[in-house]
Amino acid sequence: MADQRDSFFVGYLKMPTALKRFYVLVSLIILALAALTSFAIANAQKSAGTGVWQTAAPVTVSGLLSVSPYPVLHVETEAGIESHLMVMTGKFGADAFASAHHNTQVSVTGFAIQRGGWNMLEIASETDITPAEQSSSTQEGSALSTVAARTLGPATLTGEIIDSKCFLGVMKPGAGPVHRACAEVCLLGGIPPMLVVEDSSTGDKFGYIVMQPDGSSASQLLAKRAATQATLSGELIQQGDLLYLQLDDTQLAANSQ
Amino acid sequence: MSAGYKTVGWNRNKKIYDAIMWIAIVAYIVMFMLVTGAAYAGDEALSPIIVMMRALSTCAFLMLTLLLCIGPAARLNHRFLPLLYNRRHLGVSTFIIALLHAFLAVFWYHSFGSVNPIESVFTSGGSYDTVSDVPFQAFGAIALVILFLLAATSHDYWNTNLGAPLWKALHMLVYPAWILIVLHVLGGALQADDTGLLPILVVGSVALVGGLHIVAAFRRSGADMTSESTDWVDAGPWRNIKNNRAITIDMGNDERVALFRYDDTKLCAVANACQHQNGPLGDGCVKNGKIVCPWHGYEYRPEDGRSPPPFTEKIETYNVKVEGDHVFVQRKALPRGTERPIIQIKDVTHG
Ligand code: HEM
Repeated sequence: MADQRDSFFVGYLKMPTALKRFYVLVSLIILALAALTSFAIANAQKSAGTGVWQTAAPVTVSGLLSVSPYPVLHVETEAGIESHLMVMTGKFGADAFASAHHNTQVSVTGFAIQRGGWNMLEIASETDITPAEQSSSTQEGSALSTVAARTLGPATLTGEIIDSKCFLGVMKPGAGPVHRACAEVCLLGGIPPMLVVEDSSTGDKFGYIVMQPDGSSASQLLAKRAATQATLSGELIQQGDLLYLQLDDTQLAANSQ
Repeated sequence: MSAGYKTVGWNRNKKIYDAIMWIAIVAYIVMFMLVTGAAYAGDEALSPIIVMMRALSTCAFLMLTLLLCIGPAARLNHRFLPLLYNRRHLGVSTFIIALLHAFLAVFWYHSFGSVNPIESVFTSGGSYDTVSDVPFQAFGAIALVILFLLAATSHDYWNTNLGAPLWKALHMLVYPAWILIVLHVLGGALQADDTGLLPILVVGSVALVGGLHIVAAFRRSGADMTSESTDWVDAGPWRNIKNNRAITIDMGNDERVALFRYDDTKLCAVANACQHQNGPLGDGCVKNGKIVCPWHGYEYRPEDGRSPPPFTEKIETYNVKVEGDHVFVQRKALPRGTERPIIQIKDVTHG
């Protein structure tokens, strides 16, 4: 009869041989498909740039700490001033600990975050910032006393609003729509916001740290606009090797809607 | 209470099924990590947690797709029935993989900040002003809750205590969960398309699951005998029923009947839905004088629709008559477990 060949199967019974062969084949196909799709999807992932977060060992850097409005450690090097943005562990800015040291010489110990020419230091506690009188300032002889802010003129820029910590190497990728929620939480915690402008012909990325018209932090203001494209206008300012965009009043009105 | 759920215990077939499943899962994830590590190393290395999150999420999505294909595939070809038999282990494993993915996402993207991480899943990264701005992770979170509910109630204990119809209705929520996950991917990862193949994955899943369901439904309605509004429903020539097998008859009133022929000459009709999990008895067979459900092997006696002791399941039975070549089934079901005469065909000229 026909149903002899149908090899009917009930789970707890022994499998007929024909069905067993069928399932050896099915198992092999499933394993092959798993390997193949995994390979294809993993291989199709895009690069997230060259940012690194060096958590293997902390570094200690000395220089002039200024909070204007975000904490930055300006370090004198042979090539000029190197400016290290400072943030806290987790999704928090370092203002609370840094502001007590505004415009003083300090040594900062933390994990280095680097992307291209960008430098950032991630500190964990108050004690990671120590006054530098004892050793480091005397080594260099000529410690920085001030770092002038130069106004470069008005600018209107279009790019993505990101949180600088993730973008510079803590998260790979640390930008784009998928990262939006994280960027929002980071900005709410006071991480300096940056407008990242991409040169469409070269793919080069330029970052502008954004501040409010009165020169204060724009983190909270921009939190809800994190990871979205925005056109911002304001005054372009250079301090150390960092570029800032100080928003126009009008821009602020448009932002807060 | 029924002793029914004891029959679906662990056995060798299930262990092999689980072993192959977990080998495939581990192979998928290890392959994903290795390939990513080879593609991006040094300064360009991607965050391992994000890569793991992607490996787990795409793996869970593929598992869910496979899970949703098993039902219609088994309806189209009986050889796939064994996959269906242990489908629940695949379901629970899918939940576990999706949970790990969600855990990493909450840990990595939502923790260590000034916002409660769980709250952040629903509020950060979007708004509820417009549909397109709804945070994509909220869709994933709701889907995860559904998958949890299904995994938690997957044991036969729940099936017995909730009753098969409610249990089945609850487990149909797997379809909304799948749709939510499609939205989760469309609204999130697909916008960035950091993993370039996601569109193919999503379109492929939708086409496969949708296509198989449509084909299976089409086949089903074609296979069913449609019936007029008389007291007796014509089920066609009895010779069309293979020995020890059944045909499924749509009674036209939302009821389906499994009409069996066994011992070559005997005919009996019972409700199509197994009491265990609404499995299609019409796709089952008669073995050792018992009707056997194709899903989990629940058995019923043809004479009265009762499971043999110690089991206590009962299904509706139907009266059957033969006129000329044709079998007829009485439209009105008899109460569950009612004994009625088995029709014997007299002149069986073999064929
Ligand atoms: C609380 C629940 C969930 C959260 C917070 C969540 C979060 C995320 C995040 C952040 C991403 C982007 C990952 C990246 O590319 O960097 C993502 C992607 C994805 N998720 Fe979920 N998810 C959740 C639940 C689920 C569930 C239940 C599934 C079911 C299979 C799922 C499947 C996917 C898929 C397929 C992707 C796209 C591939 C990828 O980029 O990882 N997610 N999810």
